[in-house]
This record gives sequence, structure tokens and C-alpha cells, in this order.
Amino acid sequence: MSTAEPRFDPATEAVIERLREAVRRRYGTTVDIARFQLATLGGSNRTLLFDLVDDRHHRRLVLRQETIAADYTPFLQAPIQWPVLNTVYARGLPVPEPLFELEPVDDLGLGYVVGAIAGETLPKRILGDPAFQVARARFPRQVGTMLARLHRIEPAAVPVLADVPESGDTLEAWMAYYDRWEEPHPVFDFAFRWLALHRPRAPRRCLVHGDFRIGNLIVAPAGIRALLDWECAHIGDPLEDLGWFCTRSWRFGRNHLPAGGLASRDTLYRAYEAAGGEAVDREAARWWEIFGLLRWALYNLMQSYGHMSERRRSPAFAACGRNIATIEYDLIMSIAGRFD
Amino acid sequence: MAHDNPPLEEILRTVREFLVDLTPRLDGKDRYHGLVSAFLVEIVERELAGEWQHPATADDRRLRELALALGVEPGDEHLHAVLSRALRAGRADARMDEVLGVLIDHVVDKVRVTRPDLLALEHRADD
Repeated sequence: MSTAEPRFDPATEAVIERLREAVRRRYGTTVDIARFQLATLGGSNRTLLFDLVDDRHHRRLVLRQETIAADYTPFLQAPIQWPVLNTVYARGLPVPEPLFELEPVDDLGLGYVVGAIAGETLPKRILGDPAFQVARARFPRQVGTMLARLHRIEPAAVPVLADVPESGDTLEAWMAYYDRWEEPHPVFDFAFRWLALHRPRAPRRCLVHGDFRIGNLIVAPAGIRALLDWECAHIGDPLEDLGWFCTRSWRFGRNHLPAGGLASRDTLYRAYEAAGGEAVDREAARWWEIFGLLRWALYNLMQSYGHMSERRRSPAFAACGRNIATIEYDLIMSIAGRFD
Repeated sequence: MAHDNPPLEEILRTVREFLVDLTPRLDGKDRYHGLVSAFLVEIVERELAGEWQHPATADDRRLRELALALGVEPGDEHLHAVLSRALRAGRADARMDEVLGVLIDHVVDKVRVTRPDLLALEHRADD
């Protein structure tokens, strides 16, 4: 037993004991785990970093464990994320190495263990800290290359996503979630209608990350090291990822640089095209930005619904409800052509 | 009835000042929730202060008129539900620009309470 470890709450201590058994079941009884650290993420999952130790080596790993069976969220459950993660890893995308999926015998619920990747995930630091100046300069090219490669993954390579609602008609899927969260917003219905009336032509379909933004990248001073978080993955229009990246909510106030607060749209699109991505239909990509604002507002409604329905309460989830107004403002001003 | 001092807005300010003072000494999740809690109290303060400037009834009237313009009789149902249904059914398809203008005003009133600092110059208060 490791003695110098910080104590956690009893639930986390129990998880650590079961995780030790789970790891020994796979890597032999001579290994141990140590140096535990709970990531303070706002999400619904427990993210526990730890070292896998034997007499000669140690390696930093991450347990991603689902702690809430959220029947009302669109987030993919671990058994669906797992094969997707394996596919993108096998295709050479920079993602954490998938090591093992939890099984019933582990008594840890749903989840999996991956290799840890060191680096920064806080957008404020990535965008502002002088230490990331080189990373920032490389960003558009790296992002363009990463997305072009991701979008070469055809739907048949990730059959587990075929039946995910977002893999079908996007607007219908989100309308259904919206209705489930029991709070009509005239602005949402106006936006749904506007989007339906201005829908781009049927695109090529491929694997889409679904939450591609700076906050889901691990960045080192020399550049992007990994793309995280596959719980929004689905089959769709490759432009959805580009549009989401440029959505006003992910520019961190730097609206003169629509591509994540880091570059112009054109810089990103050209990098994507140069890396083998298809020619970006500018108007269609803009449609996905506007859709992105609606989708982000709906995610906030989901969190507020979780709070109001007493499923999971916190000041942050409560604030999501009131945050909707600010996203509606961006949404409606963008539709009006008054925000770019 | 008239209560004793401190009045509501003074109580809220007291709680907010305590949270703002406390939060830098917290870390991780507690710090985050401390910041958010202070923000939530701020919203309540603005909502109370704004009630006489931009009464909720003004937005109700605005949305009620929009519903009538779209040919819907609001009745007793929540106005948001009535309007959402009408917009979804395409009743505004021929007059999207007009509806857009009303919805901008509707949203600006909400943002004035939530995050007035995010409003474009044209929508800043003092109108």
C-alpha cells in the first residue's frame, strides 16, 4: 500500500482499491498503482490520473469512469466511445493510447483506462501565455491537418456510431433533445426554423469529433499533443467540426479571430484544404457555426434541466440556465448578420 | 409589510461580498463554484434592480403582440411555449426579419440582467 498518498473521499478511495485490482487482473499481481490525482473537470465523469508501477517502470495513466447514468444527455456512453477511440488511435490521430475497457468483474461501472498525455488544456493559458507562442503559431496548420485526417475515416470504420441520434438528421436529433428538456425558448425555435430553411446541400459523411475546440486539446509549448473527449462523436458533415471550432462561444472574446480566437477562418480553411480536406464551402461552414451556437445553448439547457429536475445540482449547472441568454444573443445577432 | 434593515438588496450584496472575499482562498472545484455563486447573486441583484426599469410585463407585452401578429391567441399558456410552437410550425416564415427584431429586443432584456457587459454598444443601457 502506498502510504504518502493524499486521502480522498470514501467513494474515491473505494474506486482506487477496485482500480488496483482491475490493473492487477490485466498486468499481473506484481504491479501497483500510485500518485493519484482527481482532475477537477466540470463534467459528469470521474477522471482519475495515476501511475502504473512495477519494479522497473512507471507510467502515467488515466481512468475515465462514468459516474452518472444520465438518461437525458446526448453524451455517448463509454462502450460506444471505446471502439471509436480505438479506431482513431489506429488511424494515427494524436489521441491517448487506449489500454483497457472496464468490465463487470471490475465493479467500476462503465469506463476505460488510457495513457496520460502531459500538457495544458486551459484555453486562457493556451491563448495568452507567452510559453505557448510557438504552439499558437503552429495551431492552424496542426488543426487543419488533424481534422483532414479525422475526416478521412469513413462511416463504415465506426459502425458503432450508425445508430447515434446525431448521426441521423442533425436538426431533428437536437429538436428531440430540446423537447425533452421541457423549457420552450422562442429563440431556439426561430433558429431551428431558420436553419431548416437555409440548410446546406447534402454533404459527404464521415466521422465527426463533435466537440472540436481548444478546451479539448492537450497543448505543449511546441504544439498540440492530443485530441480528447469522444463523447460527442458521430457520423456527419465534416464542416460541422470546422464550424464548431469557429463558433463565437469558442473564441474567448477574440472575435476578430474566428478560428478559436487564434486565426482567421480563411487561414484555418486553407490549412484544412492543404492537408487534403475537401474544399470548404464558406457559406455551409458558417451555417454550422450558427447551428453551433444553437447546439451550445441547448447543452446549457441540458445542464439547467439536470439542475432543476434535481438529478444533479451545483452552482455551475444553475448558472448554465442563465448563460443561455448570452448564447441566444450571439445566435440571434449572428442570424441577423450583425455579428460575424 | 416593511421589514427591518437590511433590505433585500443589502443582504444580497453582503452575501456576494463574502463570496468574493472567500473565493481566492479556495481551490479546485470549490473555487470555481465560489466564483459562479457570486455571479449568481449578482444576477439576482440586477434582476431586482432592473424590475422597475424594464418590468417583466414589458417583455410579456412584446411577446404577446408577436403571438397575435402570427395569428395565435396566447390564452393562459406560457407565452414562450405558445411562440415556440408557432415559430416551429412555420407561421413566421414569411416575416423572419420582423420576428428577428422582436426576438433581439427580448434577448437583450435577458442579457441586461445576466451579462450586460457582453452587449454590443447599440444595446447598452441608458436608453
